[in-house]
Amino acid sequence: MRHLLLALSAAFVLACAGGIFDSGLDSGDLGGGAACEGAPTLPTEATAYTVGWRWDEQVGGSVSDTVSFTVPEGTVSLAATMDAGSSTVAWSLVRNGSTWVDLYDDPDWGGPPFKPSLGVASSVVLPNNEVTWPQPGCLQLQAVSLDDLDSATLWIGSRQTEAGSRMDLNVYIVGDTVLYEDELEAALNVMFDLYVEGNGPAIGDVALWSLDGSAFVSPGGEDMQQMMQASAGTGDPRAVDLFFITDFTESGILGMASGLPGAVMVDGTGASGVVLAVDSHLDGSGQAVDTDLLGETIAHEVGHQLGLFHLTESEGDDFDPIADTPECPPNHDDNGDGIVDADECIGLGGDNFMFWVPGNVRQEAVSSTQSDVLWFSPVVK
Amino acid sequence: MFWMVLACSGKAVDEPAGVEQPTPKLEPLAPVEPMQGSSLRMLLKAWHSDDVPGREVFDAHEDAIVQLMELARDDGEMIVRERAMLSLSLYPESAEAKALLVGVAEGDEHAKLRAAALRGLGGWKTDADVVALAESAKADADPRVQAAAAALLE
Repeated sequence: MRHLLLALSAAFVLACAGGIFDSGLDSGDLGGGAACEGAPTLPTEATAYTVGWRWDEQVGGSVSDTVSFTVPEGTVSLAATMDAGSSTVAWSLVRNGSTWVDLYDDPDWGGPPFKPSLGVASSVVLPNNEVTWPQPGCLQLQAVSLDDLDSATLWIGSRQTEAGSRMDLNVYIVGDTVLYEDELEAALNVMFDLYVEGNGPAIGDVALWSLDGSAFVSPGGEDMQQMMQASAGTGDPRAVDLFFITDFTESGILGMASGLPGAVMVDGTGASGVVLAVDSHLDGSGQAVDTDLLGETIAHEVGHQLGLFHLTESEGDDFDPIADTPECPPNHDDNGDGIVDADECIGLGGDNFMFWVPGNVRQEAVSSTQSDVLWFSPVVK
Repeated sequence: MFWMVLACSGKAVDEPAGVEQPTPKLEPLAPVEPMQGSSLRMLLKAWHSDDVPGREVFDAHEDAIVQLMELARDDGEMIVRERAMLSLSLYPESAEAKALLVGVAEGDEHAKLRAAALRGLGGWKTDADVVALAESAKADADPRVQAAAAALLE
């Protein structure tokens, strides 16, 4: 994945240098352009649109039509996912009031407040920090791919009311994975307590499904994407999908979100959910599930799925785009090992549930803006 | 605290999982305390495997290889034991580390640990005994062990 990202970045750095995109935006099948005239109103329920793509020789990749929507007054949050089936895509333009992603004119493409989310389904959620709240007016989106695409499906939906306090879950038990109901309930209670005590949403309805397929998937592999695609048409698409597998085929992975953010408000894309490895949460003898750890992993990965980043990355040189979360820079590396761990960052985010590593204190802190991102998420109702 | 909804079946979905879940099969175990005094243990608990540090970071800690071997052998959490074994691959000069990993890979511990031990043996992947071990592990019934053996033979 990282190699692909580098390749994609390199391709578009060349494109920027050539000024290919200086002439402005294309209008897509949905109508509208820079002025957003005639663009459809942003739907509330996630709705699928077929978007045209074209190959660009100079770029060495495909570029989607620019699609436009009119964001109505009162829009609380929105989510958009470009689903290209088996092709990897990434957003090249996200513009609403301000320009949040601009591959062509912004040399920092990939920097805050959004980072590139490459995958068979690439997503964006507004808001993901203090300043990315949806603005009434025009929303414009465009995506890119290294593959030769003719079309892809855009899923887009929104939340139009501040009323709402619960996040529903679709829980998929995959193949012959064993997770007992009392273990699941105990783990979800840990997540529930963390979110509610952090002024985030409560867990609402939990729909429990048994999903055919292998209990072992490769991390980020086609089989993992296909597993999520197999859930299409089952649960409430506004619910957050959790896939419990026995394990990944690679070692040492607790769980993973499908992106930052992953696809939300839509199920059945290759990025629609969080995958949790039950066996990675066993005790050292492999006999009992540590439900506290499992609950904390779910809370952390759902945070990613809904758009939250790590407050501080391991070397103390990369931070989330949220202003009210503390940062822990390298001068707090008290033991000189080159990284800032949670205990070195007490008071600087080490006790926050989105810190990069757990510590000797329970990570229950949720900042005010983090709780806003969760509370006003388009999945909350 | 939340509602459990047993959903209807869909095209790729069988009967609701909740109905058929058996009762827990195990008696509660005595809690296993984390290894005391390990400065590396916390680093092995990173939320994401990509964030588990490398040797340069480990070696800034006293007796890193000893800590990793103790964590691999005795820690109370599967993820810590597993990542400690993976990290031992960074110390190919240690015969003790190799012996520990071979012992786990050949033993009857949880398949997840045997797979991690095989991956940890990547630091010795050209050794004839390790190649032979990987060849035999290819036939293991567990897909994690199979995948680890295949990776070791690449």
